[in-house]
Amino acid sequence: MIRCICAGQTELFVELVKPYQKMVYGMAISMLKNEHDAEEVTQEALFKAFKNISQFRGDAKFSTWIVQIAMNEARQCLRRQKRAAEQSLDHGVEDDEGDCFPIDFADWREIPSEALERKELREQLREAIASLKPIYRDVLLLRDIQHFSVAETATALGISEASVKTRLLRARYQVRDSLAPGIDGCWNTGEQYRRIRPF
Amino acid sequence: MQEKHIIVEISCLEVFRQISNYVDDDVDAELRGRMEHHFERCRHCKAILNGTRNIVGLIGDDRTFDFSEDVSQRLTSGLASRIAADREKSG
Repeated sequence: MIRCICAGQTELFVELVKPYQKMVYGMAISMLKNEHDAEEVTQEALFKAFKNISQFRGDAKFSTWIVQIAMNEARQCLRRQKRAAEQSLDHGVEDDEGDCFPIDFADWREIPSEALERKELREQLREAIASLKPIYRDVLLLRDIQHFSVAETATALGISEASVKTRLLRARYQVRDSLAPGIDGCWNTGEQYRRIRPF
Repeated sequence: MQEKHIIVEISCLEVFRQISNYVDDDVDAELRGRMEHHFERCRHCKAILNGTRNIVGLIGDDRTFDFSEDVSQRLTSGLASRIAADREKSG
């Protein structure tokens, strides 16, 4: 299909990228926190992909290629909004070796997935992800939201697989820690709360 | 004679470093065994494991980031219009 598009059947491009719309939009909204901006960035990223389709060589997966375009577009949007510099949820404790430790030991073994029906949990999750430092957020988005493999994530971000794993660990701990207050006080009460804080 | 399996203890620090890989099933069998042995005895590490696993599940859940049919339609028609306009422009 890509060959046909490059040969002039440009209308096929809409069909080609339709299965990737959700992925690109998911990347955008989790970086920008705003549905309107996310839609604009998605539109722009898809159009840029169209304009540059002849540069896609097929040595990476199409999803990896298009997600790189989407991330660049979202980063540019953040820069324009001068938000990037303010982004930090760096409250994990790092030692000299670059280790990162969890700061909350509550045993919230399970927030039922039905809790995602609650807007406040979804918002807090999005907020926690969007507030991560970009290097951690980008890895989390690709691994845990887009379900890219470690190798695909490394390719998309141009980093080593070891860095993917280290950054993912930090991102997960930081999101977990940032949700802890809500987990204790809002999403779970009564017997569930006692199960969370048994010690 | 029965073969004895000796499990080498692992520290909480090492467990913290590896929990994410453990959740992703990206540790070798020997390390997995050591970590599971540790989780049986350390409620703090078990708590971190449970929380991390739960977070990964919630983040990956489709409901966390809604994508409505309306958005999809707007994206599709917007992109089609821009491509058509681009084609006309390039003649």
